[in-house]
Order: sequence, then C-alpha cells, then structure tokens
Amino acid sequence: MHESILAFRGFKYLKLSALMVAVTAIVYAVHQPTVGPPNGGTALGYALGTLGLGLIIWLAWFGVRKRRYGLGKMLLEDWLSAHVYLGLGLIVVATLHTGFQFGWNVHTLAYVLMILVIASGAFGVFAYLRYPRLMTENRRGATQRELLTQIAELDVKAREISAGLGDDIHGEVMRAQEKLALGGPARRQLSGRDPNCPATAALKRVGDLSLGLPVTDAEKGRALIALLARKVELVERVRRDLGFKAMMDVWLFVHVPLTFGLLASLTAHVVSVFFYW
Amino acid sequence: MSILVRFVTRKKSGGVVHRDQVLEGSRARFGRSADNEAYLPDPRVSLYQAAIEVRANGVFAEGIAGADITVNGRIVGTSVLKIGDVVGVGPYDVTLVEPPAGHAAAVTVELARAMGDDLERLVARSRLDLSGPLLNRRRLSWGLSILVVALFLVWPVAAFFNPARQPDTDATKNFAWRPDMMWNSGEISNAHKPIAQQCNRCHQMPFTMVRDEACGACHEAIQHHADPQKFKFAELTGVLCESCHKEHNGARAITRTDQKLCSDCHGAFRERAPTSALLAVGDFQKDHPEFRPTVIADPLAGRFERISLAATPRPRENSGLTFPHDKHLRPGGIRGPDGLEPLDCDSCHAMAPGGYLMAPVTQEVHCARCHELAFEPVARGRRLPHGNAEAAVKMIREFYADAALRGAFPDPSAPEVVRRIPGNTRITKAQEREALAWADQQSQQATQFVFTSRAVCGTCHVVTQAGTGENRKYGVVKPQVAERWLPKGLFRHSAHATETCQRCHGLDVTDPAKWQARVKDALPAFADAVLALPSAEGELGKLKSAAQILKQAPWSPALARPARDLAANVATGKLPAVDGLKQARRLAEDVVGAAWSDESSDILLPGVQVCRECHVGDAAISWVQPNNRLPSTCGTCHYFHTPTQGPMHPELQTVEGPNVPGHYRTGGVALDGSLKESRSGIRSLGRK
Repeated sequence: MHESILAFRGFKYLKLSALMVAVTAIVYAVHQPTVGPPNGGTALGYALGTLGLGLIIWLAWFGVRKRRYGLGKMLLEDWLSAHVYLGLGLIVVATLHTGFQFGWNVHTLAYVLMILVIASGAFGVFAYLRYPRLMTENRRGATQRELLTQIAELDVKAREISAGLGDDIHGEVMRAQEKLALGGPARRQLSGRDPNCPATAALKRVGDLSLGLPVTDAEKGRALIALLARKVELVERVRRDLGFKAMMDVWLFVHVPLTFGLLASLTAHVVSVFFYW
Repeated sequence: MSILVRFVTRKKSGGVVHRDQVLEGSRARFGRSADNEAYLPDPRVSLYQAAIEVRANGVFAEGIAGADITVNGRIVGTSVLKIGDVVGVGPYDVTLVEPPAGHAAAVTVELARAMGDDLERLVARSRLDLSGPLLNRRRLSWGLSILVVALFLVWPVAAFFNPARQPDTDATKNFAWRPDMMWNSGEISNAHKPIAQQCNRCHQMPFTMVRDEACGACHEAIQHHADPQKFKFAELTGVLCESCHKEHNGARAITRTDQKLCSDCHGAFRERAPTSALLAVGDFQKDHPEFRPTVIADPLAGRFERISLAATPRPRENSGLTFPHDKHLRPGGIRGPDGLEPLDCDSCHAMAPGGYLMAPVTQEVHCARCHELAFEPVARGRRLPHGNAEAAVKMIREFYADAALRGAFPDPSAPEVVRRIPGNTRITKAQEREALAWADQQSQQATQFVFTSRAVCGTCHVVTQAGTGENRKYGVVKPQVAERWLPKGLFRHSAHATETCQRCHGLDVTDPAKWQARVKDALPAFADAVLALPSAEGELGKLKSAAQILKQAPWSPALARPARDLAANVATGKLPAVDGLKQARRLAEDVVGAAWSDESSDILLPGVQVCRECHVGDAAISWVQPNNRLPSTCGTCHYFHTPTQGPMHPELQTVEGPNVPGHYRTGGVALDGSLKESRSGIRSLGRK
C-alpha cells in the first residue's frame, strides 16, 4: 500500500516538527534578553543557533543517507518525511535565531541560502507529488526508451517509403531525421516543447510536396504522411516527458549546490562570530 | 521432452559466440518479459510475442494473443515449421535447426536487425537530462562552497592578519570599506559610528571576547561603579565591559537601563553593604527616598551635608547671598531704569549648553541693569567692578583723588579748590593738600556707604570688616551657589521643556504652609473658583475652607478670567470636579510660581512625589498604571559609572570640573558640554 511521504506514519514527523516550532516560538516570546533586543548573541540566540545548525547538518546528511540502502533503524521513508517537515520547521528556528536582525552580511547570506534551499526543497516535494502521475499518463505505459525506439523505427520505415518518392521528398525526410534532436538546453527541456521542431516542419512540407505526386505514388505518400504524423506525436510526447522529468530534476540543481553553499556560509558564519566574539 | 535454444551473437570481428539454454517441456515462449522461456531483451519485442511448440505432428510457431510473426518473411498467425525455416520475432530471427540427440527440437536465436543506428544517433543528438557541463551538481556545489569560503571567510581573516593593517588613531580617516565588514552582525550604535568601519578597534584578538582594554583605549576615564577595594562583589569585579554593553544591535545606546541592573543590589542594600551610607531603593514609585539636596552646612569649613527635604528642620541653603524671589516676581512688575518691569523665571534663568543644568546667574548680565553699583550721586555713570572688593575700594579712592585735583566737582559742600574752574590756574601745595584731604574723607565715606549700607554690596552680600579708622578693611563673603543640589541624579532640563518652571519649582510641596500663605496674597480669584465648585468633599472641602480665608486678599487680574471660566465649567458639569480641582491647582501654581519664596535660603526643589506625578517605577507590564505615566527605571536619572569613584584605568586623571566663579561643585558630573564626555569617560578621540 503506497503511503505518501507527507502522511508517513500518520504525520509523525509533521507533529514532531510542529512541536519543535511551538516550543521555540513560546520560549522566544517569553524570553527577555538582559541586554538589548532579541538577537543571535543571547543565551536563547546561541541555543536556537545550535539547534538550527544541528538541524541543517542532519538535513544535509540525508544526501549521504539516501545513497546507503538498508542501513540504520529508520527507513528511508522516515528520513525523507522527517527531512521535509523538519526542514520546514527550520525556517522558524532560524528566523527566531536571527531575532529578525538582517543586514548585508555573511550571517544573512547564510539565512538567505537556507531559505532558498528550503524553498527549492518545497518545490521538490510539489514536483514529486505532481509530475510522476502526469508522466505515466503522458507515456501511456511505455518507457521513454521505447518511445525513442519507436521513433527510430518510424524513421527506418519513412526512409524506405520516401526512397521511392523522388528526391525532394526523400531529401526532406532525411534532413528532418538528421536534424531532429530531443531535449536540448535546460530551458527547452523545461518548456516541454520545441517551436523549431524539424519533425513538425517536415510533416508540413512533405504534406505540401505530396500534393504533386503522381497518382501511382499517392498511396505511398499517404503512408509516409501517416508515419510522419505518428512520429510528430511521439516526438511531442517525448518532449512532454522530458519536460516533466526536467521539472522533477531541476530543483535539485538548486537544492544541492545551495546546500553546500549554505554549509560553507554557515562555516563562515560560525567562525566569524567567534573570531570577532 | 526438451527444447534447445541457442542464442547466437555475431561480433563485429566476424566471430560467432553462442549460449545454449535447455528448456524442459514442449513449448517455448519468446518475449520481452523475463518469465518467457526465451527472454528477448529488446524494446521492439512484445512482452509475450511468439511461441514454438513441439507437437505430435511437427514443430509449430504461433503468435501469442494475436501478435504478428513472420515465417520466412511472410506474416502468419500459426505455421508448422520445417528445418531451416526462419521465424521473425520482432528484430530476432528464430531458425529451426536439426535438434541434437536428446532434444525434441532446437532453434537458434539471433538479433538479426540490431537496434538501428537511427536510435543511437537520435539519442546521441539529443540531450535527455538536465546535466551538462555547466549544470553539474557536483561542480556547482564545489564552486559555490569555495566561493563562499574564500569570499566570506578567507578574505576577511587574511585582512585581519595583514600586518599593514593597524587601527588608525585618526577617527576621521576610517571610512574605507574593509572585508571584515561582511561579518558585521548588525548596525553599530550611534556613539560608535565613527569607528564602525574598524572592526579591530574592538575585536583585537581572534576568538577572544572584546577585552576591556579595547574599550579603555577611548573610555580612558570611565569610573568604577563603587570603590572596588571596599565592595568586592562579583557583579562589579567579575564582568567585562562587553557583558553589559552589547554592540551591533542598532543605533540605540548600548547602555543597560533595566531596573534589575540596580535593584538586584540596591533593593536590599543594607544586607549587601552594611558599611555603606546609601539608602536601599528598589523602585522609583514604591520606595525611592525623599530627595536629599546637598547643602552647605558650614560655609567657612566648606562642609556639605545631604539633608532630606522631608527632614525637620528643612534643609536650608547657605549661599551667603540675599535674594528674595518674591520681591523680584511681584505680579505688577518691579521698578527698573525704564519704569515698571515684570520679571519671570527666564529673565534670569536660562538653560546651560547641553540642556542638563541652568546657566549660572551673573551680576553683570542679570543684576547690573538695576543694581548698577554706583557710589557717587553726581557721577551715576561710574560703577564699581563686581567681584573684587579691593579693586572697588581702589576705584573709589582714585575717583575722588582725580576729582579733587581736576576740579569742577559739582558739589556745593566741597571746598572751593575742588569746585574751581579747571584750566590753566595752578594750585598751591596747600590747596593741593586741602583737596586731597577732602578726597580722602569723601572716599572713606563712600567706601563705608558702599559696604555697610544695604544699598550696594550689602543688598545681596554679607560684608565683613576688620580694623578701625584708616586701616579698616572691607570684604565680601564669597557666595557659594549650588551648581546642583542633587548631584547623584542626572536631571535634564531640556527634557522637561514642556513643563512650566512653576510645575516643579514654584510649589514647594514639602512646605505647604508657606505656599498657602503666599496663595493668600496672590490668589483670591483662585479662591473664588474653588468656592464656586459644587461639591465639598474631601480635599476639595479643605481647599474651599482655605479659599474662604483667602477671599479678602488683593488679587491678580491675570488670574480672574481663567479661574472664572474654570468655575463655570465645573458648575455646568462640563468638567468633573476632580479634574477641575487639578486645573485649579495648576492655575495656582502658574500664578504663584516662585513668588512664595522670600528668602534665598529657600530650596526651591520639588519633592519626589512631584516627579511621581509623571514618572512611575519600572512599569513595563502593568494593567493598572494610567497610560500617561512614564515608566522610569533607575537609569532614567542615575548613571552607573560613578564619576566620584576612581577611573577604571587608574593611570589616567579624572575629568576636571567647570570653573565658574562663585559656584561650588557638589560632586557629580560637569556643568557644561563636558557632561557627556565625563559620563562615558572619553576625553578625546586622539585627534592629532
């Protein structure tokens, strides 16, 4: 029985995180610093900072843990569910640690990086909840490789047919086949479409050219156009598939590097705070 | 029964390898699914596409579930096979061969139509995931981490250890940006903004809390809170400057003003310090003692005493000056050179620079227009110098000697030689002696008049005399006017500019009898107003009976109208009686002012309850406190680092006080603009 990582174990980790947030918020509200406004340098500030740092290191450790299969007492689902909820709870812990003091400095840099990491992670949760279903629907049970193979087979057949239909049509088919490239730059992958699709262009031109075919070749022409149309449909499906896949991947290109940036800036944050104690 | 399946693979070099698989049973299925007897891993093959079956009447090939197969190139559904027939299953050729001994049938399986180059080339042209040379998670992670560490950690640390970088003593030259500014955790307080760009002015040693030496570099004269020899409390000796003064929290001052700072010790002071003369106090509203002005107990010995305003007898000032406030503040004005002149407080009292204290009153500026120090009726323009009795005596003698020898002195009682027409006429020795004898006598008379009558020096000062006859010497007792009566507090007049002077100084609440007597002189209108009030309960009743007595006295027309308006408002119910009473009191205060005081020994200070009309204690959270009160902690009026104690860095001298003639200092901070400096102990920022 599939259970969403969000609802995992009856929202156990949501409750855990909510408890953590509630406790820190109440302590923050009650705490009255002896000197000055609430800030990261009070006793509570240090405590919240230590808690936040521990959380960040633990959350980052997920990248290591998920590559080790079957280790430890907690399931990977436990880890992921806790990763999501404690990561969201971290926003409160870290914000209270700042005492709402922000500036153009390494400390706020670490905070901003942390917020970006959490935001990208939140998008990741959204993507993992939304796109797998869309991908399955789009591919109708086939794998991406199967779709590509079908395209390649259509190419073979299209070449065989077009070989007997004169140089202009054959040339058009051949060029379109040679030019077709799926995916491509990140932005095009994410868009899930290609306005300059050679296959689509070829379908239109071959359709135009086939009007001039002799009656004897009309049957072949129709077969060729049918093939090309089927290919366009497959190509578009692959593009959509790539688009969904890219949406599921792209946040990790923010999440992971910024996590490392965050760890580096946290190092600078902690060292600098105690260097200039 | 078994079927031998031989998978044949042709290498590019031309060699052939094969792998045999023996299938028990009479039927072998071919397909992409792994549970087929013959598994064909190619996407072009269906999950279950074809089957070879050995039956009694031969070997048969069939498509499963309607899937197409070809036999020798022809599409068929089911077909009996003979040796050498080729069955096409997707891209595979399955050829029936002569079975070896022990097998019912044998086939070879060969991928005849390998996955075309078309697919390979399509895949090669395409980019099917996001990773690329730039979009590479590992590279991005490393790059960002190294960038952050280099920029925000290595660079500032390197700059810190750069030997060329020393804190510049010239505070005006340090506004260049430095890499460790990236570590600045918050805005620097306004007082420290001039050195905000130089982190290492304060952060001198890595991984060490800001040391007191760093603070002492500028705050060289900062004082101890208490004598560290006498009071060895951990709270005083065991803390860093930085423990209380937390920087980087915005523009506001970084001094502690919370009540706990003081009340922790002073709330139960007797227990902590049995030898101290200080009184215990924990909260301004609840248990602040009555003010104890520092007054001169013995002017000659220079002995000062702190006497409570609530003490009996009340403390009296002993300044050596005679100054009746009531004569000068007469409602109709006083006689001046240009007729009647009404005076009020700011005719003489002005705020000193800095806004804390009032500037000293000086004879030359404030008194000389009326008290002109003339000594000879025929020469009103000649005035004696103030503040120097010897010079005054000399001036009188010189004046008369000069007049005698010059002649033309317009006094009919003077000898003829003194009255002669000045000019070429030479006078004889005898005439000269006569003239000088006259001058001597005149100057003695004048001197005696100046010092002993109450017209000149004696108007304000106590005059001393020693010796007799020609050797008689006059002197003036040097007045000693308190610069501040309450030197332990820090009262800022400029912060109270919204109030009238009378609010605090006019109404001596600790001496109500005297005040009432004065009200009798000045306030019949007030009395009318009070009598017109409808109710006669409590305090109002008492005031009413007092007012009945006051009614007969002469009254100030200035007060009549507001008092009548007030009475009317209360009578018609526009104003509740309690508020009306408050306003009536305020009116009375405004009119009476300091005019009640007829002696210069009066101390025109308000008692602590006058302050409490606005200032309440540490009422940060209070549901009962009226919202027009100011929560005030100890730090509102007092300062922590006591200027009378030795400096925290003893090799330096203490700050010197002001030098105003006739003023004595009762301790505390300086009078003028140096107040701020002495509070924070900064003498200079070392500008060269």
